[in-house]
Amino acid sequence: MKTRRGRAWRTAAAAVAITGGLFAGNASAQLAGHNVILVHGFQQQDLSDPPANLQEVKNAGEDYWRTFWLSRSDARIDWGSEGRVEGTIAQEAFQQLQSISQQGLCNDYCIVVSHSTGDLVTRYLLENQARWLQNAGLQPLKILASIDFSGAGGGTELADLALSIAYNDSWYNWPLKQAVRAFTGINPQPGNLGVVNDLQTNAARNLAVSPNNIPRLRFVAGGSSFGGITKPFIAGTDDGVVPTHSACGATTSRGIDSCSSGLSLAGKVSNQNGPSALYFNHYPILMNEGASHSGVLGSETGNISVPVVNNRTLNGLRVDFASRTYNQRAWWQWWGSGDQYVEVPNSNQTDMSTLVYNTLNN
Amino acid sequence: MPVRLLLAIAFILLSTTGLGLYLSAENTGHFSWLSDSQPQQASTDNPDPPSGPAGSTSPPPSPPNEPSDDALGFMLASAAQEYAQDIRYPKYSLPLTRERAEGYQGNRFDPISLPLSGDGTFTVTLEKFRFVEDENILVVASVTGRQVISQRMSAALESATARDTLASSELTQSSDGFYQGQLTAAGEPGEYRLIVEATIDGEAVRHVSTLTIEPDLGDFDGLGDADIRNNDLVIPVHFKPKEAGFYSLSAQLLDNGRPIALLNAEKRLDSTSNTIDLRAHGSVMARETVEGRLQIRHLQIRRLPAQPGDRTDYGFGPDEGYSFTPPDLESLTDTPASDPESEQRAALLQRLADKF
Repeated sequence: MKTRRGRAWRTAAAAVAITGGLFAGNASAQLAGHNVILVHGFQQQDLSDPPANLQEVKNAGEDYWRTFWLSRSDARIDWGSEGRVEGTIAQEAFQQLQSISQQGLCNDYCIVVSHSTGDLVTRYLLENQARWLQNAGLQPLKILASIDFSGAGGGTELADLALSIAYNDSWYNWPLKQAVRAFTGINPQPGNLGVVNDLQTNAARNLAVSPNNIPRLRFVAGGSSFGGITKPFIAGTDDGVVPTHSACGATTSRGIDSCSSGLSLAGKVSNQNGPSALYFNHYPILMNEGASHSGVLGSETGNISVPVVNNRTLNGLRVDFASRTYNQRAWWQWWGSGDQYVEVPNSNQTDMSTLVYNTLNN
Repeated sequence: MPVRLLLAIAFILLSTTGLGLYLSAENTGHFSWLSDSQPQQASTDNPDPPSGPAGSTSPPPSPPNEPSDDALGFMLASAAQEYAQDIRYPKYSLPLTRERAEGYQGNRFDPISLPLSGDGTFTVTLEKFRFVEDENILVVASVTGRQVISQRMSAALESATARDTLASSELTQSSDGFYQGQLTAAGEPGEYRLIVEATIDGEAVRHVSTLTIEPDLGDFDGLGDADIRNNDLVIPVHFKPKEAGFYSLSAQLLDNGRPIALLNAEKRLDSTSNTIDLRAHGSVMARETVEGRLQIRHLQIRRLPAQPGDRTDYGFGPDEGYSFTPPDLESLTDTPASDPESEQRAALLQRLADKF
């Protein structure tokens, strides 16, 4: 989810920007030799000021990724957050899927990069795109993998709470109301929540969860958004918007603290309240305790990324890869070697998006 | 007095040593004889090993490559390796652990809690998220904390779009403190709000959650005779649809209540075609020792959206599921499935991972 400025200037620039709809990036915009398709997350402003047409949706989509991924992508699937996944969002997305298919952009397998609610939208599209495109006489998209930053496919408790706030005009829990306003950007009313309806934990986890063969690589943040006022209302750890149970790909909405039962979001080697199971083909790759929900898209540095190591055996070899393992004592500990931490070396000098991009394009 | 002095000195020495040990970074708070299972390093137990059911064999190990010296690269290579293992199971027949089976039961409704002022919560629980037309909806609510709650609590079902009230009911308090009541899902298919209202500390507080009412898609009519085809145990499920369309059926295969596999199938159904074959692949069945009958549970059928913007409609099999006597399973082998697209995807991922 990202907030953005007014769209008036974009409307004026629509004619100029029209070519940016599909070919969002440049000719060299590939990831590991594969074309990149971006699927953005929830856009607050669509609830208070719904886009007038698909071009406005595309302009907002372009803005969403400007920090890092826009110039590194080949196509986008943009959608309006005032809609529902099984409604206008699917219709808007399908128009763009058709164009991508006609252009043959995924003939040699594409990589999807999604953020936040884009995870849920991607999951729904992956379940339906082949059938819809074939019905239209087009070739289904071949997807190599989806790289999901702060994936909201399992919903967020903030959306559950937004619904109750929408039906409680004079309800007295002020901190909760402020948290929901920060999350939605509006005063929630029963009819103005758009895709937030799909983000309710039960709604999200009952939508298109049938397994498919597309690997979902999960990148999980744990920092603060909105000055931390949303954190108390999300189960387990979170990035201020999305709970860790969703970002990791856990099969239930029970609050968890980490994607691993032996490693914290900060990389501390310790017993953790981890997921009891993950959805099929969901692979947590990195966690970052300090990165915020939107910061994973390229705007934040200074936070340490942690590899979600469950098994150090690769191709039959036990591997001590070059993660930095170090020990640290707390202030009240007088002596001893301290707690053990694992991290990606030098990851605090970059952001998660740059780290992923540079690693894959190395 | 010397004895008391000695005791005092001993006490001070022991206290200082104890405090020092307590404050040592080596003190994890666990007694060593109880902490054998505590992880010593990052190589932790996988919460849900994707390599399938216990006892299943891995594919022949590929020759070891030079391991990655890059942490993120290692993780990507790891995911590529895991994916290559996972696709040995076809997507229509995936192995289930108990934990994963819980998540894939379908039609789950996890309790929704609304925080109240202080440390209280207002929680509503339903049996499921989707209800078929005219089905009863059992509503259970509870309030915890120091709030003053009125004796009365009510529940109403409201259309999400038109905001018409479909049904309402008083909830009655049971001896264990829960409030319970029942509504009927007698409405058009679509999304509805369940509004549970209580008076808490003198103020009306509404707990609102979402459920859906599904159309009557048709009737499940039991199983046909299971047989072995190729390397699959084929289980025909009879379903007579009310309308033609493209349907997806999922169900869990169990042996004495123990989950074996999640089975999925998609097929176009119409008045001339009313059977969907679920298939359990040899990769999940070959190492099972089955004595007696197997069970099919958590049957969920979906009419998939014909075009973008259409709704997915859901139907459900009987709660108790079906049981059947399988044919001789001896001929099933633990051979990896073959899906050219997945294999191509695995090869590309591996090529990508080989860089590290």
